[in-house]
Amino acid sequence: MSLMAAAMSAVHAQQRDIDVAAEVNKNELAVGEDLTLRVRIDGSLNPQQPTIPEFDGLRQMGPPSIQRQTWIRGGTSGSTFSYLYQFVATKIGTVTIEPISVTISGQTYRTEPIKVEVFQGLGVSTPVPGQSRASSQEVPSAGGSMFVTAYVDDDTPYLGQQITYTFKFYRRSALFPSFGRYGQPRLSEPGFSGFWKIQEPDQDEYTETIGSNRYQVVEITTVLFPTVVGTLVIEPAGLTVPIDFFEAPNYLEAEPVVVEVLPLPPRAPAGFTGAVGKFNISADVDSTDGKVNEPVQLTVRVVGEGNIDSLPDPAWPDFDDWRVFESPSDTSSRLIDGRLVGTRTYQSVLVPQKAGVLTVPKIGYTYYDPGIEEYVEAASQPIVMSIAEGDGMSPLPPLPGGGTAVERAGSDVRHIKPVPSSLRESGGGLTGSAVYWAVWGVPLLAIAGAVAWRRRQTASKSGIAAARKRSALPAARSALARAGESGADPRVAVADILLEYLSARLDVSVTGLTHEALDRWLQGLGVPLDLAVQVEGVLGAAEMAKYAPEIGDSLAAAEHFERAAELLSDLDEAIDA
Amino acid sequence: MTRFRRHVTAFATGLAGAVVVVGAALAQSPSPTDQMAEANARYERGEYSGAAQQYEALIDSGYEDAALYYNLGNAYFKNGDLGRAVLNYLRAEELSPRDADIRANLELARSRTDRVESGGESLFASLSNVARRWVTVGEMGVLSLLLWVVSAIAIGTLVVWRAVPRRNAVRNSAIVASAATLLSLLLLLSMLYANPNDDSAVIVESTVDVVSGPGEQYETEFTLHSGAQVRLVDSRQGWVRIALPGDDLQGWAPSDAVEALRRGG
Repeated sequence: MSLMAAAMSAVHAQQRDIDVAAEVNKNELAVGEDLTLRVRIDGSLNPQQPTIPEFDGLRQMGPPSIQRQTWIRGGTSGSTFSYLYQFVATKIGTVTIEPISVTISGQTYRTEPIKVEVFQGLGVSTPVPGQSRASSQEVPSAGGSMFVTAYVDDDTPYLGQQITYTFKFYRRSALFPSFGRYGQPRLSEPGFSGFWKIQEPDQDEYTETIGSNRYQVVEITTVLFPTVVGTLVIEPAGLTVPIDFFEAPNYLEAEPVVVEVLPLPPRAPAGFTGAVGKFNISADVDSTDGKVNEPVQLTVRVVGEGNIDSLPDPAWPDFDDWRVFESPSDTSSRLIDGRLVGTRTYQSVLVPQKAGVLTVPKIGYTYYDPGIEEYVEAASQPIVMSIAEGDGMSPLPPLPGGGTAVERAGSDVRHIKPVPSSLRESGGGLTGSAVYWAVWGVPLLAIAGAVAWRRRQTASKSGIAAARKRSALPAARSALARAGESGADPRVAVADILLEYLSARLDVSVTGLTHEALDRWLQGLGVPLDLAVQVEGVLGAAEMAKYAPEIGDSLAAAEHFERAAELLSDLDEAIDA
Repeated sequence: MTRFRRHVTAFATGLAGAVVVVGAALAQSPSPTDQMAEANARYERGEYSGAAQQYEALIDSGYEDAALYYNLGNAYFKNGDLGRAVLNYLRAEELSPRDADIRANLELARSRTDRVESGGESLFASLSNVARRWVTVGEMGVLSLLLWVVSAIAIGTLVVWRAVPRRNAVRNSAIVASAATLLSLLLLLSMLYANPNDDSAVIVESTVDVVSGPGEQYETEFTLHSGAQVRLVDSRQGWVRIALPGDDLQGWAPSDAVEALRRGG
């Protein structure tokens, strides 16, 4: 029985040969101090990772590290897995680590609860220098190896009043001597919804001692201007911190910051247009002496502390006796000791319209000063100027900024049109008339006529050629019959008849063709070679008779005509074939 | 014979008198341009309603001109009748599509009424719209006929004169002119037979509840205001069926609340 009680008092659960236990490295610690929770699983070769519930007052710092140990007891071997969890205490009081579940082979094992006492740390009361009012989130605590915190310098600002959001990253320098080796921490900035944020946050690094621990601190400040009234929550800023190659990076998250934005007090002066901060206004001219129609440069500066980038313009007075040409303003701002200060400059060109002593009136600027919680009406000094008569109309200087675009002031219709020389009677118009479409047919008819004429021409030509072809052989025979009566040299007569025949039969002119060309042509028509040679022989004999008549003819005239008739018949058949 | 002469004399006298009376009447009646000048003068004096009536009278007597419709649109605009202003600017734009004044006033008038997106048109209607932005139907008719004549001359030359000098250039000219003729004819036919203005209408009442049927007992589908351009689909006993471009919204409206772009349509 006493043995069982001892087993129950041990912080473990056991069944068969599996033993699951949880233990902490200390049961008492300060806020901000770290705590190691070890969950030991003995007897299982492949346990699942324990399920760790959330503990009110302890914040887990990343995933656990795992240790495995192999042992031999009484001749048997086994393994012990240890899961080590790191926590940081965040709240004073008793923290109960509820039973931790581990499932092994479908069986769930639970550890016993553990109680831890958290007390106030020693170094927390040190205020951060330069803070006017610390918010509740501004409590870094001693003892933690690495933690973040976030706060604002004023959690109840007025609408438009500057506040500074500060995010601090503490790390114990002795524990992370080579911090940047595995990469720099990465900040996840909150959205700052409901605030006008100055673009670049300011960053500072220094060391700070909290309790007995020395920390390296990275401080990032962001200047904000609330733009809406009411309760605004700045979402938690987060920081991803790489540890080494083998461990997942730690993710540290600050608490959200609540800001209660107050409306500006009622009964604002008439000239107030929304400026919040502390400002001065001044006006200056490039010369207090001038002439009528000669331009003078007026420079107005609003200098001070506040949201200089979104300042409303001054309430411009009436510049009687002056023509005023305004130009866009120019703004410069910077952070000095965490406060946004700057200058808004307006440059205008004033043109005096009359001679005498003229005054540039004072220019007022009303703002709300949250420091003294009052509306303040500032104004520039009036400027007295001596204006002499001008030499005439001086040309106006070019407008600063290159002039302005002409804008349409009204939206009326353009004016009516004059009466045209004549008004035509309404009707179907050109395309509604049949004549128009009839005209479309004229070019068509012209083309049709041209095509018809071309066809007729072609047909006519081919008819004459066909008739000549048909009559070629009878005409040649008839000519042969008549040739004997003429008394001419039969060789010349036969050649002329042959050429006339070929010309008619082939519908070409063969006059002037050389013998070789005529020979190639006949062969190209499919005329047998022997017939082409006979044609060439006839033509050659005719040339002989013409140019060498002294050489005698071996054949009688009748024989020439007989042979020529046979040649013509053979040629006609060959060409037809 | 004497009686016959007397009749002839009486007839001739009567005829001469009639000629004199008609001639005098014609000489005294103001010309259309004089009437328009008088209407313009009334407009200048700020008598917009009277000017509009006079412009309308001229149009009713059979005259039309882009300036006439434009001035009428202006008179209605000045008189606060946005619907009829839009209607007459549209008519003026059809007669003179490149007139910058008409476009400007039409855009101004449209900017003050329901915004009706265009769309859902057929290919030919789209072609017609594109062409109508730049030319009138008459101009397109002349252009296409000229192109056709040029094409015919080039083709005829090629057919008749086979050995024409620079034959290739003539042939290319014929091809280009023929293609241009076909394109212009397509545009012309689109403008004539797929003209969206043919069934266009404009709301002329200040507010019109468009209902689901031709009667007041039907449910209101949507509401249109003076100057909104719609498409006429059907008509029935004092009611017209109208549709917005794309035909997604259709319904019936009292016929006197809608005026067709085509006069007498």
